[in-house]
Amino acid sequence: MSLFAKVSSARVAMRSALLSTTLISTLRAALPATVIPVRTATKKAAGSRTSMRDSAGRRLGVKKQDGTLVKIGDIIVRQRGTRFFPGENCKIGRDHTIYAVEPGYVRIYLDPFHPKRRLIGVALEEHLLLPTPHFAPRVRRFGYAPIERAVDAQAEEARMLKQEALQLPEQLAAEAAKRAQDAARQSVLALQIVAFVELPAEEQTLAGARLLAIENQLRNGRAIADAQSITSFDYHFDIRHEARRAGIAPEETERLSQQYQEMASKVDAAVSFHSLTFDLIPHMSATDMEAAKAQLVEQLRACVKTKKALSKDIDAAVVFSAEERALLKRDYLSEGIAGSVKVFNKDTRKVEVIDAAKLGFVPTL
Amino acid sequence: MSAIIRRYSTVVTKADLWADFSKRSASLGLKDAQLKEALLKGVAATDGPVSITDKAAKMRYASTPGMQPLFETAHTYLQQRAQRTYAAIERIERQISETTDAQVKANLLAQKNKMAVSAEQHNPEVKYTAEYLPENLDMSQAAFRHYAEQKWNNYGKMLLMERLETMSVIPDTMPTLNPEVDVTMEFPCSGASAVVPGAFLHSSTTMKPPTFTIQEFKETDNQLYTILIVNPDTPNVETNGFNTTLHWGLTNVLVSNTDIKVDFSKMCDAFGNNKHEICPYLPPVPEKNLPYQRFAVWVFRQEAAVAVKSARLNNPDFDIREFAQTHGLTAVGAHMWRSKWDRSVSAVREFYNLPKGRIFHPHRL
Repeated sequence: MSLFAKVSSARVAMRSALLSTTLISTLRAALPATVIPVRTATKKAAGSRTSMRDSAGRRLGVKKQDGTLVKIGDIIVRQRGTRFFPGENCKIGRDHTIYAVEPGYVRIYLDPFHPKRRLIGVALEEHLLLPTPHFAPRVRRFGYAPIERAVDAQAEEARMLKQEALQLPEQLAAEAAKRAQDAARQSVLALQIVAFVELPAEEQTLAGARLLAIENQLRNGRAIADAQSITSFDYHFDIRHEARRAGIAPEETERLSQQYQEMASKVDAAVSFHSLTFDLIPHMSATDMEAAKAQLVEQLRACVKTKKALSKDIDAAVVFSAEERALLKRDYLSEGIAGSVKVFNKDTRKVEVIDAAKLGFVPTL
Repeated sequence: MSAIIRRYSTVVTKADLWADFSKRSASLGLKDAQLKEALLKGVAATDGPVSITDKAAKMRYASTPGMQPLFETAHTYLQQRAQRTYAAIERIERQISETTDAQVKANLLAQKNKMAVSAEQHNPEVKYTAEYLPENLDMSQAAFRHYAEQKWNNYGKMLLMERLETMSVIPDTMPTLNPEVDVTMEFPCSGASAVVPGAFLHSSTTMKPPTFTIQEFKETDNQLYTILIVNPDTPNVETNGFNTTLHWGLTNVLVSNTDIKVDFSKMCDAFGNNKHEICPYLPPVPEKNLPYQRFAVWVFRQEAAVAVKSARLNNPDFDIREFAQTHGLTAVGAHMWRSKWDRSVSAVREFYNLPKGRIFHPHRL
């Protein structure tokens, strides 16, 4: 073998060894020897669908590092999606931007209640760490300042929302009407109480006021004993604070309280209120009340009994025809029905609504 | 169905434990004889069930055929089971009287309470009373307490916790709460009805002190309570933060299962002097342009009678947690309301001789 042949065979061996390592070389080796690659004249007319679509960077990232002092509204993180979540004193924007809602120090932290979240918060003090312990009171900033100038403060106090301004006259009128109504009722009660219990003239107005207060409590659905105790407390409470305002000695207040309590026990022992009409009625003890109740129920029972007996008498009487019996029972022993009933009027050929009490008997429809 | 009846009819013999009130409280039975008969003996076809008030619906009602014998069998079976439970209760009572260990005694009492519930909870009369006549439940009976607690768990308790948590009364005042008692509150001097937790109240409504009811569901006798009203939103302009103010404090208030009221007749003497007060009532007096203030009512169970050191109360920043800890108090109930500045605040300040309120800039800085 010539030297050339030796060299060329060695080169072939080396090349084949090199080529066999790559995929392309194997493919190339597999090609038939007759295929000759041809470069045709081509020119790409337009760009690919996906090229030229890379926008400029959106400048995302953490803008304020942990421990940085921030003001209200400072942006702490710009992000796509929620890489970070808003923690204490922070909020999240429409594009997931996290910003501070309180001034303070940025804290990037983890919360055991949300183990998969990284949170960004703002601690109000430099020494505070986040999250605030679960059972500890929240650390809050007040953030309001009083108006110093008296004139401005007065103007601000008087300022009203439109709705309040519109409602005010109506509200004042209603309050005035209620006051007038109460005053009228109080004077009536003060006059009426004299009929039940003897009171000195100066105590009559006070008694009237007490009775009015009790009546209002009763109208709210409270029991009489509760109403009386609340009214007494209210008076004692008022008078003690009035004395404190006017600088009256405690002995004087005590004397007034005692006087009132005497009057109250006298009035409570003498009168009560009708549970339906709220008119003054003489006070009754619980046992008397029960006895009266029982008596009335007995009367009602007797009434029903006589009615039944009469009905039997009519049935037994030989003098009546069946028709007469029915008429008698209808006119005198009918139970009647309460409320209104519908009755067909033959003349007008219409259904009319009539008060059952006026009718006096149960119509057959 | 008839097979079931036949099967149990042979097993079950007649027992009338639930008709016997010699050892059981009369409140466990129905007072209305007609109602009782309708409930236990079935409903006559013409009368209809008593629970239906509408006349037409009453007439339409038809009981399921064969229901009555089945009901009677079940009724007898349940009574026999209850009889066994009562026997077990007697055994436990004997053990309680023999033991001296407080812990063992408490465990036995809890066990007894549980059994007292199971002995009566399926009694149709008890069930009917708890369901349809809930106003006058005899809370000395474990079964009625059980039904009342169930009702409270399903609404009142959840509502309270929702309000306390969403408005951050927890943890701004106390760390947390496991409610055990049902607390209601009203301001009777202003004629207002029971307050829903978290409601906004007008300053004229809250001008004078409230009254409460504390309903325990476990058996209690001579239990003392402390009630504190705190406001964690008192502005502190100097520190640009908030203080907690104690608005009212009551200690050593005695409440039992049946006597649940904490009203003026219980708290005060005849002249309106409150003997349970540790500090006089301070009404809500919010200032203009500030956010609403929360008023948290905390009810604590006391271990023993408490003597309060008044120096703690004068602190401008009242620490309710420290107070509870030093006096051995366990929070068992709560309530809350909210207050905002209104046009009556100045009158309230005048009544209590308080300085004029500040007016703040409407916008937060």
